[in-house]
Amino acid sequence: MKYLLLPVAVAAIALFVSVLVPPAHAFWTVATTATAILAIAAMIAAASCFRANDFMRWAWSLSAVPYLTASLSIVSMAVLAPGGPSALTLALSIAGNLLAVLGAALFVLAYLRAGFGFGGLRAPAVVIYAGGFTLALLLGWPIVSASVRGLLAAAESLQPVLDLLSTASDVGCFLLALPLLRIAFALRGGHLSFTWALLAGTNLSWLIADLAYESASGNAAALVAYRVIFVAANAAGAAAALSHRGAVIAARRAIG
Amino acid sequence: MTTRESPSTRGERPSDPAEAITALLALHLGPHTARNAVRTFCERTLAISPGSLTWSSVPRLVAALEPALRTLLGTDAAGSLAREILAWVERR
Repeated sequence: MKYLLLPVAVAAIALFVSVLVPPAHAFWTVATTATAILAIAAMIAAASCFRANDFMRWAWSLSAVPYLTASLSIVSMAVLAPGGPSALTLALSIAGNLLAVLGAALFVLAYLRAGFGFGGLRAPAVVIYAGGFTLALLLGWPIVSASVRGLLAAAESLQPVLDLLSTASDVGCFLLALPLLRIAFALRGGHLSFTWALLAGTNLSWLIADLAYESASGNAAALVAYRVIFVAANAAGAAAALSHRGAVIAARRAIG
Repeated sequence: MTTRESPSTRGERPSDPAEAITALLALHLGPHTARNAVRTFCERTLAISPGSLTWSSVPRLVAALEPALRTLLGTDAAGSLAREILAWVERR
């Protein structure tokens, strides 16, 4: 339970600061980068719990990369190309978005590979997947269509390409959050359940943050929501890694 | 997360081997998946139901479970869990 407190505390602090003193853009750049660095550090710590040939070492190592590319993109846009995204930002974004989906998929694959199964009836799971897929389409479609319109209108700019890529990746992560949630539910009551629950939370957040950002034009509350969700999602990624590290250490001590 | 001691550290030893293994795995996998894991691997590896598992068959079940645990917990933690289960068998 203590791991769940990290994203909640980060969201509460970010919200409190936003309400108390509407912070400047630079504050959010620092906050986003700091929480991404926290996630990278936690994921490296989680990966280091495993041996070189362990599946989870690869899963955590790859999962850290999107946070690194996101931080580098922020720095690249803030320092190197303040006018708009550069080719470097685009390359980082492509790598980060692909690896974000791959990282989520590896955690689903890990459980399937273990072969423990889910038990219970298949019908509720099918209903949840169908509902989640519909929700992903409903949430993602306005952003995808806006990105495509932007792409057609401004052929010279890289921003619509970045937006489209990011949204496609966020829809992928949202869809993968459904099996992650199912796994967390299957593991309920065990140390590992928090890892998969937090990973599901992170992967659900990106698309919701995108939607908030799309509504942020002239809407200060939506902009605050976007920024708070973003830093909380980074913190949830860090908490997922720390909870897995904690579960592995607890299991290693099993024999005493 | 509530800190829970393993049945072995509390000194409780279920008389049924399937129950004993389930109780140990439940700390990490939760009771639902622990039960599923024991049932699935009993059926797959030993072609028996968990209720028919004997103490003498436990090492074979553990050998089959260990690679699956390794995927989620890593080599070292899976090895520790496997050793704890086998130590149970020896102590009973």
